[in-house]
Amino acid sequence: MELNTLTLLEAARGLREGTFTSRDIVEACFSESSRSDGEIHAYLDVFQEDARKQADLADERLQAGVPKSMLDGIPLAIKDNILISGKRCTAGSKILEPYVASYDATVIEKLNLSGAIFLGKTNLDEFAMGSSTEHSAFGPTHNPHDVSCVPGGSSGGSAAAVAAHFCLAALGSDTGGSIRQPASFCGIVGLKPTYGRVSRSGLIAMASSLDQIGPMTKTVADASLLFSIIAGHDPRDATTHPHAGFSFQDNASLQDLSDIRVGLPKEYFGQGLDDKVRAILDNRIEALKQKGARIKDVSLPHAPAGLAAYYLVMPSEVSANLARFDGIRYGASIARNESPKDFWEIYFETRRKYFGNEVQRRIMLGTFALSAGYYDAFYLKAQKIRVRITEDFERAFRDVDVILTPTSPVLPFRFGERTEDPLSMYLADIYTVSANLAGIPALSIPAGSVGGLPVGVQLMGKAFSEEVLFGVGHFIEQS
Amino acid sequence: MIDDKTVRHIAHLAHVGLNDNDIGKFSKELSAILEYIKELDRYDTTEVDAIAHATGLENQARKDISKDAALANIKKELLEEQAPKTQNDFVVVPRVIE
Repeated sequence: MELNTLTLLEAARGLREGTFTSRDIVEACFSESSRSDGEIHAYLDVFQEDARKQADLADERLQAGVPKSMLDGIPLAIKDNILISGKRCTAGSKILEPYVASYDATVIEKLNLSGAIFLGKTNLDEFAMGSSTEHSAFGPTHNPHDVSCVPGGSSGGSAAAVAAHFCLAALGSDTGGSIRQPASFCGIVGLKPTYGRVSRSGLIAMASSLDQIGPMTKTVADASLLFSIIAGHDPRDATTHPHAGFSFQDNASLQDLSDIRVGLPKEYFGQGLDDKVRAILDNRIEALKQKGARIKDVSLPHAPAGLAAYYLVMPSEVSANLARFDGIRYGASIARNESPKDFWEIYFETRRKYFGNEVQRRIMLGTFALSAGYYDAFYLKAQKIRVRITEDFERAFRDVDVILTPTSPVLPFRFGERTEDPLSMYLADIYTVSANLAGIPALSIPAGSVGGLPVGVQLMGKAFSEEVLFGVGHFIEQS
Repeated sequence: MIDDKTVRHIAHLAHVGLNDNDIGKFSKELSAILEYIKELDRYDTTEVDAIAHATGLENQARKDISKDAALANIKKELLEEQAPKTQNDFVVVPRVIE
């Protein structure tokens, strides 16, 4: 048994029973990543020494019978836009290449308290802007199922690290699909939680009204466990909900699906959906029916407008959030080795030199959408469509418990296929952005594969219905 | 839809220096994206009040505790090392007002 291939629950059981040690798992993970991360490039940074030290401490606690939690001694990978105090955090950008975090993100604090171990920081599209990791300033990650294909993005490094068994699970962040789409492309489970259930404190902000941190795991039960550790109200993030917490229950899965109504929105099964992806979905829907689920057609009439609204709301928030990168207080700066004539030269030239093209493009798009004369026609219009999208979901969830769709319209694509035309890259998010606009939870679960390339199915539920998603997701996983 | 002059204007507002050969590229790309976004005009939203977030939470106030306690998790020494120029615990900024 290769210990790096364990699920979180298997590892937790083995550690508790003393079948193996935390140090054993950590060594197995490092041995696998040393062997093949040269080809995959999931990690931007690896913490060999720290992880070994933490593992030995966890082993002492486990031996003494006083583990901190079910996750004590379990090694994870963390997306490199989540701060770990004293560690570099680049967000995949040249502008943060020299940046060292001066505090822990709240999710890191929680994981530390639970005894989890951090193996390293994973690659991502620059500032989480992209669907392939090709926009990382430090080179792309490769899909472990086929290294000529992208792993999806932006949390492609985390997805690849889990799929390649470099770690037992990982954290990602999802603004418009950045957990779910790479989870789908790499054949793993990924949860975008209800907005406000997981603290964003210490997550490098992309679009604050859409961003959520979430688990990327090998099984649905693992996602539920990891989610239970990171969820909860946080005084440092005023957008977290007072009742954000979630408790994990082993064996909480549904006995059968006869009380479950599954909605299929016709807008997600039309033009643009790859026939091979569709066939796999049909298979899974049939399996759910066999288990007693009631399958119903639903309509989300504003769904086709979701992507356009998203590409106004998100860049508008990006343009405000990224204004902080001024070359004065932290990060790369032309002031470090040139002699700029004034403050403005530092600001403009630092952002010319150290931001990648996609980041500049989105800052420009957002600045335009918010600028005088265009605000009403673009930004405000998009926020109104957002209301309509939310209302569509509310209406649909009166008739069904979950909505089932493909996670991605296409199979993992090849490098370079979509980088020339930004719009074609944006279309990769077409089925995932609406959940972020409406703030509802969404789970991607492996559904099968085509020619060795994984296909994911997405379940969306009403706000705070993660439990239901895990319940139905578990059935999809088993069928 | 977006010409080179507009691109220069937006870049100025956004405080992003652009290379000359990027200007034409951005005007082409941004125009294509906005053309796609025009799709939204097909949907009537006259009766809708815009929202800026999806939580429904209102007036979330934090506890009235001193700033030192609220920032206790931040390692000051790590923070100070980050700036290109510091002096006596302050970040050095070039003169902005003549």
